[in-house]
Amino acid sequence: MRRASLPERPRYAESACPDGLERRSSTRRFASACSAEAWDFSRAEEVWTRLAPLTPRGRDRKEDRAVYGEEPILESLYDQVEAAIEILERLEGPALDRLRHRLSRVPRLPEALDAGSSLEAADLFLVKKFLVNYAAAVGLLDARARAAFSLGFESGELRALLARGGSDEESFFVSDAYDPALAAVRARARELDASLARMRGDAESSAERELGLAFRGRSFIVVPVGEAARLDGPARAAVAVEPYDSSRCVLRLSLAPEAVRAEAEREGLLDEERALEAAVVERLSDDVASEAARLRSYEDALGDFDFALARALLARDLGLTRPAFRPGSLVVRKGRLLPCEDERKGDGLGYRPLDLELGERAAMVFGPNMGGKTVALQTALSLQVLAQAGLFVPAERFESEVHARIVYAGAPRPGKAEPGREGDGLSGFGREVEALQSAWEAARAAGAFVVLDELGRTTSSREAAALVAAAAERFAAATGTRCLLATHFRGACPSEAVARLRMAGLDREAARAAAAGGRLGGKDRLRAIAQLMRYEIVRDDGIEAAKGSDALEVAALLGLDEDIMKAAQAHYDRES
Amino acid sequence: MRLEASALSGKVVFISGDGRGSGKTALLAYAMGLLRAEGERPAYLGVGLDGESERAAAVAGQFAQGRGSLVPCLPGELFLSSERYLRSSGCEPEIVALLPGSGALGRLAIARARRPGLAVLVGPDSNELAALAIGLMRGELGARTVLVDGAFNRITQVASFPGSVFFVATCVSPADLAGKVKAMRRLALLADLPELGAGAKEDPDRSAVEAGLGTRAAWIEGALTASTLDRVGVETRTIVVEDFTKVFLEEPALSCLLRDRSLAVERRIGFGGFVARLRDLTWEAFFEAIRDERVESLVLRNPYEEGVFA
Repeated sequence: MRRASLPERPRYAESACPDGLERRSSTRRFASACSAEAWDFSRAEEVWTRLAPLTPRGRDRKEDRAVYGEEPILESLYDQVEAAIEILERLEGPALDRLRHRLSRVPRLPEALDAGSSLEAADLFLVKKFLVNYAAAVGLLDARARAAFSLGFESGELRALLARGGSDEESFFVSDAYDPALAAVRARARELDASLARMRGDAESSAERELGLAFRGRSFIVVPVGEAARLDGPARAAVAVEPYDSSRCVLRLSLAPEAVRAEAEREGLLDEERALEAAVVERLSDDVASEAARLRSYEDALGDFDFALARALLARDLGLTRPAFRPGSLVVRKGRLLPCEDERKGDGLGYRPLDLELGERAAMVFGPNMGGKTVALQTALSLQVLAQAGLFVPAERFESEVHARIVYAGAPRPGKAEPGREGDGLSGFGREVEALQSAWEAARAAGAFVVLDELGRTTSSREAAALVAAAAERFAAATGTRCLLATHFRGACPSEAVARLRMAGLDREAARAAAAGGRLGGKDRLRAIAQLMRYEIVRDDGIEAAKGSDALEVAALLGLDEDIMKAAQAHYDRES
Repeated sequence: MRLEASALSGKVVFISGDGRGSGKTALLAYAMGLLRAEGERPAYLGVGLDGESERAAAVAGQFAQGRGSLVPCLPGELFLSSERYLRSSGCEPEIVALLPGSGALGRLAIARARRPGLAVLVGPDSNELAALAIGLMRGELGARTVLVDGAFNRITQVASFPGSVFFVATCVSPADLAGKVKAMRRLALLADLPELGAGAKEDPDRSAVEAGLGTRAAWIEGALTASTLDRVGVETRTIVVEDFTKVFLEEPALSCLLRDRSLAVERRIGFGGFVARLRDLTWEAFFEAIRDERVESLVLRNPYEEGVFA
């Protein structure tokens, strides 16, 4: 398997997160070649969310949302997914459940391991729990799987050392086994505890028998003052009387001199025990520190494995395929925008995957409103983003190039405000220009995958057409760049370096028949339009567009007033 | 009425007090004793911190900056404490889980006592962590009963566990008898509010009808105060809140509201009763002041004063 070194990730302060709850910023991005706008427009988050790594390092990787711009790294990540898929094929049912159980119990190694400071008992607990579950997880894998992810284990001695402190495989305490002196101190403490318990029991029995007082495990009781005054005889010394209120007092069992001596001795033993425990923790801390680098390498390797396994499970569950990188090409065969596919299916509508083959560096995509331009762009962008995030993609075939940046300029998705853009004083057109310039700078700097949706939507059609054509030409000429541009404006004709594509659009005859059939309401109307729309990308020869307006047909289907429709058609025919 | 082990066993038991000196920590110790006598090994933790537990910890001497209750543990019992207090704990604690994050007292750990000894309960700052700790104790760590020593305002999250119940320790003297009785009546009213169940927030009207309260119900997000009540339209007949701890109406306003309209909760929190400790007051005088059968039925006598004679 090819292995490319991934960028070093920062380690986090939350070292004590063994049990699944972590507090980390959900907005944090790491080493991303993808702009926030592109990530959002592509709906990649909705796929990313489905990843379910189990270890803290695996969850870090998910949280990073890293999108890479280097092919060797991506090929290495894909190799890992393939290796993990093979492991899944070999590990069936209960074995996979056991592996996942072990992974889910792996804690984050303590921060102090790197800081060079002494470890505390809680740190030793984490190291022990890590080693136990790491070793068990690795033990469930065959040699091929271990080799594929560099999952070695050479810390048997340390594991055995820590295993001496704990009544089960994960728990930890400073056990007697670490120090005979500690064992002796504790043995004496246990003797004293037993003796004190016995004396306490005897005192309770005596108080009950001789004074008629029932303490029964209570450290004190409250009795009427008169009852306290009634106590006399030698047994009277067995209880201490304290005031409570005007009519009651508190009685406590008095400690016999022997018990007082035993308690004092036990107190002294506690101090001795703490000092001995601290020395044991210090020694164990040194033992762990001497293996710190190895432990960290286990943690890194397991993080890689866990995240690869999560990606492999996603690939298996969603039918994803490995992307291929070929210079100069963009090929999408049956590419799916998963969230959209789910929504369509949820609404009982069909879903047509995207087919697209593009040799040109830039393409303009025309088509009517509701014709699927935006979804086509989202699909292509989503595939590119997911591929560069190291995931397999929802397509029968996806060939592309690795781009240094992935950028999007266009309207935010419905319901998604542009972050941080409130009150910046820019008009809609100003923002469009700013976003276009930003995309251009990314493309010019090192090449980019650029998606421009409805460029020029905030200005007149003539100016917009000029901007669209100019942008398409320039992006087509930028090295290492691929630009997909959706627009309504056919006015200006860019050079042949820019592909002209269109959405196949409405089946107009069927649309007219449907419109003549009467008005449809609400969801039925949208369903009807969806069924009449051919959501596929074809080369645009300009002939189909000359045959009529999909937009007017759609307006009719949407139920626009008949008089307005007739007038609009007349205007359209005159202009044509 | 006397506190029995059966009222506690198998539950998440939230023990709260109505102020300093209420007897909360003594009640916790007594509850532990009841469960131990039945052969149980209860787990315990503190949530929220108040003066009483601070004082209890400070009394322990070595815990000069004590911020949690000091409890005597027996072998096999689970408790939540901080790294710092575990080091000085006398029960030979074995760490069985760590909670995320770290505070001034270090990380919070669930530990199991290996021998009899004292431990300081240190509570998590957040309700989420308290819930996580309780979930771990009841789940993989196998505790049947969890005792929670907590400030009253932290009850919501803890009480979300099925089968949870809360008790309020109260110390009553002649000087505060009237006020305490009023507060008890109020709490008894709140604890008995009708429960609408899940879905009350989304569709309060339907939930209210199903509970036999009639239509025109309104969900109040967060606290129900006099000012939020003013904003509720007069046509609204039923007001619905998450649970009774969201009601911040004093007794007269609450009674007035309940006369004219219905007040309901999405989730009822099981109330075990008031554990009363009287000072310079007889039980007869106390019950005479209460004069309410429902409140009387919720009073448990000071367990350190009950059954003291053989």
